[in-house]
Amino acid sequence: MNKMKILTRNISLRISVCLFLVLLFFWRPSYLFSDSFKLPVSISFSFGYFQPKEKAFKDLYGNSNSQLVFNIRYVLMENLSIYSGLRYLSCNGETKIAGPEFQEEKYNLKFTMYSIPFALIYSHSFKNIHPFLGGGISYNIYREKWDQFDISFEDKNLGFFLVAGVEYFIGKRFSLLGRTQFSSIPTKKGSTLDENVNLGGTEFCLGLSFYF
Amino acid sequence: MRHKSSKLFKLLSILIFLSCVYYLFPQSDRTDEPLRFFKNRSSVLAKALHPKVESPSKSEINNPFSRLARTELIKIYRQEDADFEILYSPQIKIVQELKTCFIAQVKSGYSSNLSQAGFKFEHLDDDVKNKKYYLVFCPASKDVETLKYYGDVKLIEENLALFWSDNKEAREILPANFQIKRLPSEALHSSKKRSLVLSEGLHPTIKLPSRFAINPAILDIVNQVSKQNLTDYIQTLQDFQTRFASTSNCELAGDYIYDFFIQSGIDAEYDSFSFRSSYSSNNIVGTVEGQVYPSQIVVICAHYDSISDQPYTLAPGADDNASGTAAVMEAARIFANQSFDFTVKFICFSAEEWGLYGSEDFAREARQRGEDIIAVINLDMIAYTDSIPEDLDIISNQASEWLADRFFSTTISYTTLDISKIVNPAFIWSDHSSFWDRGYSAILGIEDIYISNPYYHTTGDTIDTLNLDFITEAAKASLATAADLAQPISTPQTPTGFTSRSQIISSLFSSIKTAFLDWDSNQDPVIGYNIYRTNTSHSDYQKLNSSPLAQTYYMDQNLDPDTPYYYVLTAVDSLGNQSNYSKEVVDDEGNESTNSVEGRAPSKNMLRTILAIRKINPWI
Repeated sequence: MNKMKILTRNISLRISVCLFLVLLFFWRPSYLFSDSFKLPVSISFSFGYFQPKEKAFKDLYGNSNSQLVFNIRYVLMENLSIYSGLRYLSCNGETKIAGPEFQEEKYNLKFTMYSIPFALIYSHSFKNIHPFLGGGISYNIYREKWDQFDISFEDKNLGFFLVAGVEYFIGKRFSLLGRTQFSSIPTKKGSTLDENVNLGGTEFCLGLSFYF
Repeated sequence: MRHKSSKLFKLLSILIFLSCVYYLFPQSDRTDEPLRFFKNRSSVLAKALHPKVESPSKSEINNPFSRLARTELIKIYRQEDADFEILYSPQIKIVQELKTCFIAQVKSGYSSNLSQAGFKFEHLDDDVKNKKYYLVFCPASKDVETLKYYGDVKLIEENLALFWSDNKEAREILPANFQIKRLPSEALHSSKKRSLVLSEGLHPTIKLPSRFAINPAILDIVNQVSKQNLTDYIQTLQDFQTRFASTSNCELAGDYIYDFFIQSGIDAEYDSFSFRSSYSSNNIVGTVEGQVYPSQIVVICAHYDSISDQPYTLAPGADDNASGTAAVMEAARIFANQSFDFTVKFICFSAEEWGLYGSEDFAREARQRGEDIIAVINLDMIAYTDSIPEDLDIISNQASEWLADRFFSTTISYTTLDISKIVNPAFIWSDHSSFWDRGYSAILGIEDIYISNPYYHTTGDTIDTLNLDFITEAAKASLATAADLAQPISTPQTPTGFTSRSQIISSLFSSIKTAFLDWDSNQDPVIGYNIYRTNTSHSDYQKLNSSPLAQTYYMDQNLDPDTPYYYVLTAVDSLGNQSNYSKEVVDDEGNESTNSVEGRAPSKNMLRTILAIRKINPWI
């Protein structure tokens, strides 16, 4: 009975979110999209890959991993804006043997990380092209789980990043987005493989922005 | 208004940007930066957190004391919160572990690094060159005052003082009633398995292990212990008049023990050593070689030299220590007719009364030869009773607690003797201490930790003052423990060729260890093998398999990488009989002998586990 309730609640929540998005994008009240009215807000979705800077991370999960980024940006003034959002990184890997190795022994790993950035962006416009540069902090929640054993590690850490990119406007409200980000997320935690893991690295993303 | 807010935003953006740039620098570059702001207020804290330890040169690592102009002697207090890694610096040589502190030789001027690392220390002497130091037991407050009459004295801790008088032998200038130990000049042995600073507290209470199942072979050994034989040995040793090391009578007493070993049918040898630059003497070493693991050694020992206030003419030393020597001789007589899995050595040391010279020489050479001595049972003064019933005090350090517990178990299983277990690394007044210094597990059996024999170190220490029933029970307990450790041959045969290697498997934030165990197939027909594991060497073994393993290998997974695991193995026959335990192996024992794919330094966490100094509780 309880399970049913939880399921119903989850479905309701998802439907509500979908409805909100549909309304946001497709329900276009004329006043909102008229030339005279412009909200200082934009949202963007981007997809790309993440290249970790930590050797241990590369050894375990590979050199690059895909990620999904959602950002919401608020224009403070002509060239200055702030943004926040959500970044989702998920990758699968395999354990490594640290030290003497006597027999091949590997276990499957899954790593997921959610990052919430807060950044200040300076942008400049050259006709349709708007390059931008900024930096900020991120709040990161991550989890590493072993498949074969009941071993998992969860933690939260602050990180710092620099971001640069360019937007190419393909309409009044839409722009193509390309961005790169250099981040540092020192965890001060680790394992025999590496005692102080830094979850930062370089990100390259392409996406679409929408200006309200 | 708008202009103002615009300026504010610009300022804010610049600040955030700068802070981002600042924190994006690598961690190592800015380690000291936050402290800079507090330097005026708390420079001491900053130094304590980041001590700038002088890095030794390569030549210094090989011989750290080679270029020292002066070497100081210092006392370093045990402290839980200090940066203990500094104790393993080549500039520091820890030579003695005590209850509340360590005594160390340190390069002149280097000691200031200790305070930066959070250690409290005290200077004992500015220059160790051409000096012989002794630790002296001072149970009475007036003892320190007495010592001052003969030389320089520093009170180290309760009941224990450091004494020196240039290069003079303490035994030749101090009254006979002082118990002494020469301060070792070599660094204490430390290893992963037996760390010199791994102290988990002093436990005056006995951890009550369950009573052992009676082994008929051990019971037979115990039943062979003869009160009459013990009496005869003590009488004969007393009849040498004096056994003061450096006298010819002492050497004759050594010959008597040697001949006794030979006549009993065991291999015996003289182990010569020199002391006081011009004297030499012999340890007498008898051996019954193990049938399964001859390289694993159990030692039962006692010193045969004696002292009194007239050491060169009359020092009967019946209690100190003809009693212990007699027990060792009786062990040799009985064990000569037995077969054991492990080797048993019967050692009678000389020059103990001079400051443990004989045992110090033996233990040092054993360590240099890489001998695997599992356990040392040292018997010193086991025949005098100041009250009835008397109990036997078993003294151990932290690393040897398992042995004291084992002694207790066998004693309650095979004898009527009462035991008191005392864990005190500062009780260093007999030959077990030399083995502690070299990293071996050792215990001392003594009638009372505080001397109760009024004839101690006098010409009155004769056989007529002794309780021969007490020594008989003490000898039975000692022999039972030695036999239990050496393991009389069993059926089915004890498994051989037992080895272990381990590897660490890591993810970003977690590591586990897998141990690979393998062994030889038994010659006797067996249905399988049982594997046992423990975290504390030689005790609390837990069986890992539910039914006997048919194969001759085992993989133990999902282990904590920072914990050492110890394994033993037994064979099981079709009747369900279980063999003796194999030798104990630690999980990474075979790692060094195998070429590794990739060598890595141990993690800091692992190092901390190895070296951790735990808080020491006050001793009883």
